[in-house]
Amino acid sequence: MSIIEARNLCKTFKIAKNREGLKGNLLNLIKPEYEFKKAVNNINFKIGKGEMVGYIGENGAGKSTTIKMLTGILTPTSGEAIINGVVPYKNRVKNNMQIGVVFGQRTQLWWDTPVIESYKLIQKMYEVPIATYRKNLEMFTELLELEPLLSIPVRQLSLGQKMRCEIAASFLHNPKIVYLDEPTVGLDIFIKDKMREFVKTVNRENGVTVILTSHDLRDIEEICSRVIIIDKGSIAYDGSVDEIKNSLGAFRIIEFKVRNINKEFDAFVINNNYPFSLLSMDSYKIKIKFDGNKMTAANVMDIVSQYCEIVDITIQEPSIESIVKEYYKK
Amino acid sequence: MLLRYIKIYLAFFNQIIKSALQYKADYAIGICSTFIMEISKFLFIWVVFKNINNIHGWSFYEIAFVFGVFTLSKAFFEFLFHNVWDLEYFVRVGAFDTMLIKPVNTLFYFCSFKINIGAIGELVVGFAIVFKSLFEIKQHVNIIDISVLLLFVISGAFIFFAIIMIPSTICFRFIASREFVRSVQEVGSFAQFPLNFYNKFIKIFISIVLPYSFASFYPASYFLDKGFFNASLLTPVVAILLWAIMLKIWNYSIRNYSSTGS
Amino acid sequence: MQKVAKIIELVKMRIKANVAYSAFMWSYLIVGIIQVVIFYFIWTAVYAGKSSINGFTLKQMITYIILSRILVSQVSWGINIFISTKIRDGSIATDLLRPFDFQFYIYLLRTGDLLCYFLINGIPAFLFSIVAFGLQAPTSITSFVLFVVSLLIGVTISFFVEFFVGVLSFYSKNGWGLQYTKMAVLDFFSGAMVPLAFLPGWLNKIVNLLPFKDIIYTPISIYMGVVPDDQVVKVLVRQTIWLFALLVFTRIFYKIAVRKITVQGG
Repeated sequence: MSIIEARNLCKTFKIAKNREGLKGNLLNLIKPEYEFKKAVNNINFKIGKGEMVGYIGENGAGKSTTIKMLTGILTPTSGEAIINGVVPYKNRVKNNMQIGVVFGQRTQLWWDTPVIESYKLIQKMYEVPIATYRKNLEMFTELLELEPLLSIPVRQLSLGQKMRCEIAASFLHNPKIVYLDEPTVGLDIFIKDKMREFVKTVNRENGVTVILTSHDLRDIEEICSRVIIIDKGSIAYDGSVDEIKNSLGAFRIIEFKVRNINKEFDAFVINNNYPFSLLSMDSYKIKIKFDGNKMTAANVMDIVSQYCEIVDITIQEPSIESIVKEYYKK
Repeated sequence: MLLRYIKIYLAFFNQIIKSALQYKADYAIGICSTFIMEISKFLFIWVVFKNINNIHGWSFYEIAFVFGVFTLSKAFFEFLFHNVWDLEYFVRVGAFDTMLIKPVNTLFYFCSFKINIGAIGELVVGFAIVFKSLFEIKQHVNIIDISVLLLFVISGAFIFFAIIMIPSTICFRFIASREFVRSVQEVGSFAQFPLNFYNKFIKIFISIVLPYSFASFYPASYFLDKGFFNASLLTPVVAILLWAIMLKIWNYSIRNYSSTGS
Repeated sequence: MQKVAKIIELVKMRIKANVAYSAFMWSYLIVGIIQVVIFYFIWTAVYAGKSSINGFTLKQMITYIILSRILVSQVSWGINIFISTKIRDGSIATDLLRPFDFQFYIYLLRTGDLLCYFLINGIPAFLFSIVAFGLQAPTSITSFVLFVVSLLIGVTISFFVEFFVGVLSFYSKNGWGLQYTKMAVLDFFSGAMVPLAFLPGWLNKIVNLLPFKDIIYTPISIYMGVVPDDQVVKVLVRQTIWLFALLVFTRIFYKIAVRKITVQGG
């Protein structure tokens, strides 16, 4: 029995065309014209209790729209979402009792009051039994090092501190499902690590189902066992994280700042058997994509340095966009 | 279930007062400024009556009473329901989403998570004018009178909220709703004075189209002998009716909510 | 010459910014109209059976309230919210670092607001009221010219008051609280609410000690011929004295306030 079920979910937005100029503004009011944007097109998936699923896609692919339908913020144009037997946009309050949400850029906590007061209000609103509340609070405080933050008003916290408190808040009332929408934006590696450990621990201890969207693939790799890729409103991939990591996510991109490129380099790239390809080249920069499973960055550097003088190197992790492109190539 | 909501409301209220006490200076200025604003509006009536002694048979205290009921109803509205002015902002920056996922009715949460402490200045002025005028008009004021008055004033607050909220829901679709709502709000100022002063069109407009009169003139009529006694009893009914309409529009807006951002 | 060009450019930009926010101008117009209509009905009721009160006939009273509402609209909003918002979001820092006198800069913005208001709201409303509501024409050409002079001085006095309130935001975060207080004080003490002749004697004495009446009451009373011809010059001189007094006062206050925040780094 799945805890989250999306059946033929569709969402079409009716957007009023905005015409410029005085005449345009007048027309906007009197005779508005609309265009229809299909943000989500027939999405189907089932998620079981306790699963931790990554939900990724480019900006504008329909990620947030899907999550908003699952959480009841948006009503689907057609199709349905069933969350633990509840239809979220029909039975909003009932569904909200069983979920927690973290929106990357927005806060759920009360701005002017100390964090602990927000937590107490959460306990009251969600009718959390005191014993459960205390147990969770203790565990979360330890895992996320919240002790020094609890008495500080949210408005005085740094981004990293705020996000730790936010994520704790979302799990505090023992929800069955927690949606994490870009929870790690702008955070440093240490805090990201803590948060990933936290999510895994709570999932283990309390059996919470987790849906995670993130542009940092490391988040997905660390936390999720399953990943769904959404592209242009439809599901492009629904399977294990390992599979996609190995097949698509292993490539890396290196950008070299160079001088004195040997003319032979062009020919060499085309004729060689190395598992890398040239993405772009001019007299100062060379961009190369290589398969991380088959060579290391050092290998690539060795080869390239034979044809030019390397001044500087930048190594890029694969992005969601590039993974999606790769997937479609196959 | 009602008990649950009352408990939650009180918890919010408690928290708001606690944090207000921490930023006393800011709130003190707010309270003083609303106090001064309302006094200044009342001074108009006071100055006019320094030069004449009645308008169309209405005495100073009778006019002041109508004005006072209006002010007190509006004060409760500003105190409890001030958030309606921020609806456009919340929708625009996406904060409204977070209200949709709370385990309580969205409208309830929207109304209760913040209270406008500054409106206390308005409340003080409203109470002062209402009670002083009432005691001047009626020699014996009993506990029933006071209860009825409070019921009317609370109904008036609900009426204000509905009248302002209904056009505010435009913000779910369009920008520039703020300016439109500001105009709707200003129409209410007609209701500060007895209906008798206006022409037929205005009388009908502020009794039926934008029923501000049910937050001032009609409830006040209960205590005056200028007629409209039966109309005064309709005050709570009008409040309930307006809320029914407002709730329908609100729920419709949420069902068709399109949120912002990717 | 270059400085003049810069000034004109600044004012033009401000006008454009105002026009872009046209919804706001519309609501302001509607609010003003509503206020005039309310006052019209109230005063008509007050004057029932009376031909004149305190030397004002009903027609004169209508003229007075229309003029006062038109004038008070642009004073009511003012430039203080602009300043306090800049203080709150910190952009005040860039303005203070500019090699351009801050007060003069704000004055230019305020002038832009004023021009925009008069072109779009004020003058059309004035002309419309003459035609539709029987707004009385000025008693003579000279009184109209003197009215305009007095009006410009009055607006500048208002500017200094607004500037003062805006700079007060260096000391308090509650810009809106200050705005409401300013609006209330100006509405009453400038004569925008009621002609000052209607105030009881003791209150009038206080009003005469303050500069606010020179913002609304003084210009309008020149327009309406309430001020006898030989007194007009005296009145204008008084206005001008207040203008300079406020100029000096606000500059000193501003220097003190700026020193406070640069010392505290707030």
